Amino acid sequence: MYLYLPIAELPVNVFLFLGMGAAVGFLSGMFGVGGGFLMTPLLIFSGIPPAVAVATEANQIVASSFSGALVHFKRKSIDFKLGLLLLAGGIFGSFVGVLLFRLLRQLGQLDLIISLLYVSFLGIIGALMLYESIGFMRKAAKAAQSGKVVAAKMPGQHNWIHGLPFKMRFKRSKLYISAIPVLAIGALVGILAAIMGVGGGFIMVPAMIYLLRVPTNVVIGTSLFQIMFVTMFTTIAQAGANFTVDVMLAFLLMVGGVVGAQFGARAGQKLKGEQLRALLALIVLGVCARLGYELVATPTELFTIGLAAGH
Amino acid sequence: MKNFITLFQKSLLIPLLAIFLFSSQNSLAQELVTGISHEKIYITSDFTGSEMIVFGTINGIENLIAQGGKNAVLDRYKVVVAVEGPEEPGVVRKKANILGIWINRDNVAFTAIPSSYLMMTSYEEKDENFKNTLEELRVGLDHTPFGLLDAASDGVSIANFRNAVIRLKEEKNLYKEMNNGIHFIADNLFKAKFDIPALIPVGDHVITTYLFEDNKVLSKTSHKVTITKTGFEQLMYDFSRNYGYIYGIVCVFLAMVTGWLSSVIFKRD
Repeated sequence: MYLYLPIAELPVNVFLFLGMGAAVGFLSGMFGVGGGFLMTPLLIFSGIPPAVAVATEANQIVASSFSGALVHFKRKSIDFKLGLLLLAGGIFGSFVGVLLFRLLRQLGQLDLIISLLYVSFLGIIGALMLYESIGFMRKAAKAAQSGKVVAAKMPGQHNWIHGLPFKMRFKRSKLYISAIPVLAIGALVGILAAIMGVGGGFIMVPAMIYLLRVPTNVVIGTSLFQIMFVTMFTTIAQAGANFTVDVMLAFLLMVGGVVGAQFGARAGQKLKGEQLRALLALIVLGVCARLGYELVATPTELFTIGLAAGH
Repeated sequence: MKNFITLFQKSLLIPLLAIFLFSSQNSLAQELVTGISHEKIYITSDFTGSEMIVFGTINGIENLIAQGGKNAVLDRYKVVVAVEGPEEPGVVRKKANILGIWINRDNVAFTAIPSSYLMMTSYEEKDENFKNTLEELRVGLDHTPFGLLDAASDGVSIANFRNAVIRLKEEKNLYKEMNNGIHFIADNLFKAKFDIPALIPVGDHVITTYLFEDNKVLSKTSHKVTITKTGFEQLMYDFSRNYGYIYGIVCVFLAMVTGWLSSVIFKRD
């Protein structure tokens, strides 16, 4: 069954895209990640113009982060003050990102920048996650032999971040830290949301844990809270400035995604945390390798037709 | 007439009748009379491409037909039908390997690339003289200038960029030239059936039919076909273009409702 996408202006197979939404939703439910970093490259591989893929994916993330944030709101595991500060940075970043997006598209380098950003971020995050989870699994194996119980490695109490000025108190997170790194992390995630079509959880969550030392029980809820509003803003800004949000495509992905996430969450409960992390790290590195290969392999077609400057 | 009725779809009947009515007049000069199967093609939600049939007859060749039938017509005349989409400006970029990474580097800007170009001819091969005729008329992909104004640049590389446009558009079935695609289904009735590809751009397309004899144009007709989105697709497109920000807000609202519904239905907790 084919459906004509009104904004992307091409017909797509409904079941293929529902299936893609479900598959990525399954992984995101299983690992507790947004899945934008998987979905956007998948959309681009399957022929959706990159500009439409990125903007539409932001719209889909609104749906998944909203339903996730609702759960955390009920559990009271959101630090609103921290979330709002991250959001302030995020809105600024998203605004900059949408403008950058437009400029890069006119310069004809948008696809390159999207690929480079993906390769570098996925490569770094994937490698770190894999390193950490393998290390943890080894320790656990050793401990099992010697009969000791190991706790996950807790990061040290203080780092250079805690020396910065403009300190604020965040009650829910029991933190007293500078506003500067919070705004900066928010802004970085906002820029990435606009350019890469991701929520940015895969960057924000480690940054909050390792740089800001936010307690793990409020990290996910607070990052979902920020992601939800940043992707809302991004969707509206992309729709207004670049006309690249395809509501039909977004809806297909949302429906597939929310269903897939349910099954993923159940499957995820059967695996251990470090196993999940190692598996996710492998997927992240796989996507990274695929995109990296495209950058260096000799393309079969050297030419592309793009929009004229100023359009 | 009855045989013809069985040959065609009912939608072709009225234009066909018109052709026969017109063809009885003016038998002095050779003149084309053509008709098309649709004046509008609607892109609906299940659109995956369509068909366009152009048919026509040549007035003033009754004697020739009486002598040699349609083979005599084909020997003497050439017919070309071109369906051209709206022109648009575009930049063609070529990747180059810089420090191991493939990056867009050289580019050539064209001001008028036909968004689609489908062409059919009544002949198999063309000779040099006829090529020149087509070039003068700018008929055929090889002779469409793409609106390149700056001829000062290196001619060879420009040709590469031009050829790249043709190649890329051919891959999407947006450009296609079919020699011998026009069939004479009767002694003096030809038919050109075009496959309108799924990616056809919306807008006014122009169908031009040429009649040639001895490398000269004897007659030429032209029709306009409007390809347009319809219903929900058109509504969404117009909305997104005219009220981008409000459209964005609606998209966000839809996402929130979907997200909320999923949390209610599946009770994630």
